[in-house]
Amino acid sequence: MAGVMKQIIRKWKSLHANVLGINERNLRLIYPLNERKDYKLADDKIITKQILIDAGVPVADLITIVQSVGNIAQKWADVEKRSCAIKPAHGRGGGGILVVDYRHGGWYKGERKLSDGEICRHMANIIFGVYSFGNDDRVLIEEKIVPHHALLEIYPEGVADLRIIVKEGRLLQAMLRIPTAKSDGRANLHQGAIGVGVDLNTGRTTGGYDGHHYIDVHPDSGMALQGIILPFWAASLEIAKATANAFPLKYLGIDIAYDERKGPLVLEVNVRPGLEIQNVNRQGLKALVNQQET
Amino acid sequence: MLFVLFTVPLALIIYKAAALNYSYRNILPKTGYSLQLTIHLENFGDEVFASTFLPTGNMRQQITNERQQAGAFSTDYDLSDFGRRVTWSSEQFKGRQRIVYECDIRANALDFHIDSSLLVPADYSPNVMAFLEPTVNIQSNHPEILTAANALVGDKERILPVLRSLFDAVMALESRPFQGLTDALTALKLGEASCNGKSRLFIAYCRNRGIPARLVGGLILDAGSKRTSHQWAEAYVSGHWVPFDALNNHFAYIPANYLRLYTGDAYVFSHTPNIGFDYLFTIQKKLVSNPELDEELEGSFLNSYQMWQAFEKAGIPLSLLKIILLMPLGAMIVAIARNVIGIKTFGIFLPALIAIAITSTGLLWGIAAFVLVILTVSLLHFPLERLGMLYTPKLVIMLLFVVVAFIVLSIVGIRFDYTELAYITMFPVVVITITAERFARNIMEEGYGKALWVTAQTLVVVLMAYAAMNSRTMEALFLAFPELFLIIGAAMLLLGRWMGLRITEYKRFRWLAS
Repeated sequence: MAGVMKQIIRKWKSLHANVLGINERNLRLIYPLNERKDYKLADDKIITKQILIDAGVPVADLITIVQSVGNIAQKWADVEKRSCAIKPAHGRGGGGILVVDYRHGGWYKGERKLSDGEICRHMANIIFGVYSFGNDDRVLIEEKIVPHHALLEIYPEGVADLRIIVKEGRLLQAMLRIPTAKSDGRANLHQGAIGVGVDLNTGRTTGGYDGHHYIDVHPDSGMALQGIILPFWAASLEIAKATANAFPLKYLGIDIAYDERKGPLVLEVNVRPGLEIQNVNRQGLKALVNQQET
Repeated sequence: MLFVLFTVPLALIIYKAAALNYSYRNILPKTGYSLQLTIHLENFGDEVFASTFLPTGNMRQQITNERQQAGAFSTDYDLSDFGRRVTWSSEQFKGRQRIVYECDIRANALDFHIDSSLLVPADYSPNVMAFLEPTVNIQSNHPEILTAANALVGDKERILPVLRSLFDAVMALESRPFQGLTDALTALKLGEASCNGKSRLFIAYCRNRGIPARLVGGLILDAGSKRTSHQWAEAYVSGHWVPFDALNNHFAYIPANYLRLYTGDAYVFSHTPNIGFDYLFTIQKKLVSNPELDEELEGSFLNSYQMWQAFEKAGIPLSLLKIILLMPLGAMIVAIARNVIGIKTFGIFLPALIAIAITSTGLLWGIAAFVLVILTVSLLHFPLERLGMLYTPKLVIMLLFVVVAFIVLSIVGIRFDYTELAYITMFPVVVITITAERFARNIMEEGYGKALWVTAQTLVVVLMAYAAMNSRTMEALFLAFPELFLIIGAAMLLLGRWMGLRITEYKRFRWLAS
């Protein structure tokens, strides 16, 4: 009995020493390092994109921005039948993102054919605030990302991305987020995507985590998740650093996708990056946060 | 700073408890009532009077805050053995007139212990002897009463068993609703009676057996409006007038909600014949702080009750004030649940608000209402989502369905005579809106499973807040020791800087323990 208690106390102590909890993240990192007034730089995808373009950070090409319902038809014509992603500037958790391909003389979302009217209505919904809880929003239309074959080999649907946590220009941890059948193509851990730990030094994956268990293979494709060398690793790290320097926000989660032709592209930045990355990497963030720059 | 915030209120509390008699028993709020008597008179130009008994204070009932509006009527008081009779009169009066009398009442229950060895005395002092005499309606020496009393009492000589057998016999009569005056003999012959008939029969039996007894008239204080007054009896036992209510089975006991208006066989109202006369008693139940403690503390600047009395004088009842006073406590419980335990909830203060809503509907119906909201919104979510609706109109539709569901349920309840079901509509609409909105938002952001899981967690926090905010102890503590606010503030200052892991995070990150 006493032995069991001792073991529990030891476990609690070790968690306390290693793990970064929500309270500590908020008090020690987000509040002091990210000023409220700067949140909009990360929360509005259009502003984020402009900052990144100005800083020379590679992003998916911006096709156009739609600000008012009256302009939708005109702007949609400007897209000139390029495959693209239509996004709400203030969407959360991937909500409201519509990715369409132009082929055989029509628009397709996956295998489903869409009319121009349906696409324009979706844009109107975004502007009316359907995906931003009633606040008016803007539509961002950008070039569709064609995922790198190294990632498509693991799972062919959706776009996997790399999340890197950066504190004051220093990279702390990284993980790869891979969509699953359950996540419906989205790379969001809360919605069922899996996380794969990544060694920052080598860009080599260390193994997967599905939110409940550690896993060796992708649940749908059966592909191994460990030992994959991510493409463009050195460039990815440089891009993450450049992104961090472009923002006054000093504690960020940076999301990077790998395009087959263009290589690493920054998707968005997050002012309140989640803590699940610790479980994915089997390593607490506390020590990494405390570490002094050498 | 924090140290001061904790120690100053603690020292105050200890001082008040130790030196100023703020004991637990003393700080518990007491139940009080406010009574309103409205009389309508209608006449065509003659002399008019109306008369009734107003309550007077005594050992067990306190009457405060008396006020009246009698318009053009003059008011006369007459104190007699019956009680305090008030007469409103006018020489020349035409048309309709309203008289309103109001007062606040606080009364205690009294339980009498009758020594079982006491014998029925043979002699009484002259002023009590009068209560052994028969009257027109209390025919205590009628042969039929005598025969019945003989049969009931037999050869018992001690007062307690005599009273018990008489009381039980009267209790056993059929009860029937109030229908005017019933005399003792009629009650015996019919074998059924309302309160005044039963009381007269009991009194007739007592007098017949040599125990002085008398009628008492008053009101049973239950929240609501009514015309019915109530009569009970008192028997004279070793120097005390001991109450008996053979209709409601109170033997040598008077409940806290009995208001005494007069003593003796009298009518509650009398008025000029052939005029329009109507009346209504309206009674409200309310919590009042213990007046004895308040009196004791009168001068002390540490008398927190004086602050609350200002609210009462402004017409804000204690029951409303206590909700405001306990709100920070409920909010603190939510803060602890979220930041220390790590429970996820809809909104930050929403659980505390729902807990308040539940205090007005009752726990069962409050939870039923909560579940109903969640059910309705989740059934609507998918069809509305498919329509691609804008957020605000979508919310209005959800609210509409929730309100309709509440109304339908209430109507079903009323239809099938299950009126409790109608209480569900007391669940405040604002809280419904916010709950539905948060739930819908949660479905959108995290999906059904997660939203239901957060719902379950919210419900747990609601119950925690409800338990704290619905507790008489907490209520009493915050009324007596408003300095507890400082302690809540200090605790929250501490929690606001606390960086420890939330309890649920120990489980979430269990993989990382070495």
